Amino acid sequence: MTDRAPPVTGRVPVFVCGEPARGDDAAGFAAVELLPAEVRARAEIREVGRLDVLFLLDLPTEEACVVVDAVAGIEPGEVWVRPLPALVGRARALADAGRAPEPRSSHELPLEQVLALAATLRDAPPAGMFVGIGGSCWDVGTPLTEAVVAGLPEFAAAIAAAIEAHAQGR
Amino acid sequence: MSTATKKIVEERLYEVGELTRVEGEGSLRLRVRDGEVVEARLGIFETPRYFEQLVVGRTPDEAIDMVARICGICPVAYQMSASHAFEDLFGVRIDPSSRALRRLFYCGEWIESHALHIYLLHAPDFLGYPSAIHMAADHRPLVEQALRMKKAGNRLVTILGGRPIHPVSVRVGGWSRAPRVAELRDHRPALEEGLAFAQETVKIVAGFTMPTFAREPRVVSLRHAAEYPFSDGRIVSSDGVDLAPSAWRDAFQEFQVEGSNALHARSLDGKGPYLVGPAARVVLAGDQLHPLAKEALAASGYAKLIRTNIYASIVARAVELVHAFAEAIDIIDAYRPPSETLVPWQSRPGVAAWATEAPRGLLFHRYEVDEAGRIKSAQIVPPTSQNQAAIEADLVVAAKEVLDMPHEAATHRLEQMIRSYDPCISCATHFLDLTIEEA
Repeated sequence: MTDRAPPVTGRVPVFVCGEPARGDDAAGFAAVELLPAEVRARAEIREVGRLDVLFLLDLPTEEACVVVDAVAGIEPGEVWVRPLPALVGRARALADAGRAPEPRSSHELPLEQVLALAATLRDAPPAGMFVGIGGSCWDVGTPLTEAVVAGLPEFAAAIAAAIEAHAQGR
Repeated sequence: MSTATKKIVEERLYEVGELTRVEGEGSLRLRVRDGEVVEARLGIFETPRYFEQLVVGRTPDEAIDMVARICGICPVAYQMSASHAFEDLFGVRIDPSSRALRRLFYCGEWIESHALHIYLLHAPDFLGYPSAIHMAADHRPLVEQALRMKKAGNRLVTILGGRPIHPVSVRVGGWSRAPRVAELRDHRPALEEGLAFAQETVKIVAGFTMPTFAREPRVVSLRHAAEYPFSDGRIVSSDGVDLAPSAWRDAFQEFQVEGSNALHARSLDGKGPYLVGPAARVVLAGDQLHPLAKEALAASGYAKLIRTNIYASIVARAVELVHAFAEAIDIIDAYRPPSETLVPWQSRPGVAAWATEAPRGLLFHRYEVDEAGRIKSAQIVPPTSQNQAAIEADLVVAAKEVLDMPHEAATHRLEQMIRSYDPCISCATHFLDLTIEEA
């Protein structure tokens, strides 16, 4: 984990969020391990734990990134892919309605709010994709649940697709 | 024939199922019947984390890296309480420059934590915004400055610890690596800019309208004769407690509370809740603040109100932000790399215990170490555990102030009060009792 701006490598920044020691919160870390070598070569994988708004502010305006995390509030093992701008719109709508963002996160600013804050401060939503997988157990010291293990290949494939989509033209 | 008089009982319930802008997962429930509070509860439903069991069987250096994982906001304090505890047991005296680097490490963490809390978590309450996102749209320069301050703190922790979150270079006996003078000096301009904005921050938050509130809590913090407390000093209270940093259990204890995954803490003398954190430190150790922070506190006009109005803790936090930037600059200016970055040490069996000051308050660690140098048992008492009883006591006081407010505004005000503590529910969540039923 580092607070420096991602190096300009021509590769797609991939921010992997979660906590490797907390059950399904480790899903993102497990999924990036499954990425084929040729996909990894196109990505700058950064295991950040939690998404800090500073990471997004350091990205050049047009540079797309991929954010990977486990999420609560959907079916365990279900893969959930959304463009980052859509999450920003969702966060703003929920904030306008005075509701906490869902799916929830225990990070000090929920991931969607971090994205929305970055969008406000950058004058545009961060470009890229969010790729998540539903989890159900977040206890320290527990392994991934069966549903998440079963969903890992699909999760990794979705991450790979997001990387490939944004690597085009670099 | 008798006449029965039917009394109409008015009951109000203020409930927040999921507190936002706090670290971790908790809830608020306040029930008021005929103007009297009959239930005030900070519920904590975040899952138990079992770190005290995870470190059993591990070596002290392994434990230092493991306990850092308890919190993404204050890992430095977890590492420091553990390393000081082991060094105290093993009789290790670290190099004075290593000690200065540890204070610098604390400065970085306090800057990260306080800048985040003041601007992104708490200021929206005072400025009338539902979230930092809304606030950023109208107060963009403020938020940008806050993030620059946070980045300066992140960078400091990265230079010293290898990364801004869950750093990895602290070791029993010092550091695995000490920074070069140039690395620290290069960061000085960012700290100077941060200091100027921290001073401005005190003025900004002192200008906020503070809700009415009056309770003079018992306050507890470390106090050192010659410096503002980070990791050395004695555990003191506003009413005479005075203990070595290893002796927290001589005056306090943890206990289980129904309906909460976090333990509460209380004093053994039966005097009720106590407050730890920035307000407690400013009250008990304000005379040791950096002169620039002292000056900012005096000019704020809040030196006394910090003691009795929990909402004013945002001012205490801002004053500590000034202190952290100013001391960081002083340490960098005087820095010489340690002659011995890592002092050799020998394990010995016994009890290793120490308290340090996390951004949110007193953090106590206690480990039993066996003959083989492995941990036999551990106890970790985070600040939020210690503040829970005070939060619930303050809810009772705050209830009187919100009864005439519309329900939604009243509920929001109570949330704001809880956020004044900057509670870290993730840190606080652990069970004392683990019942295993065997078939």
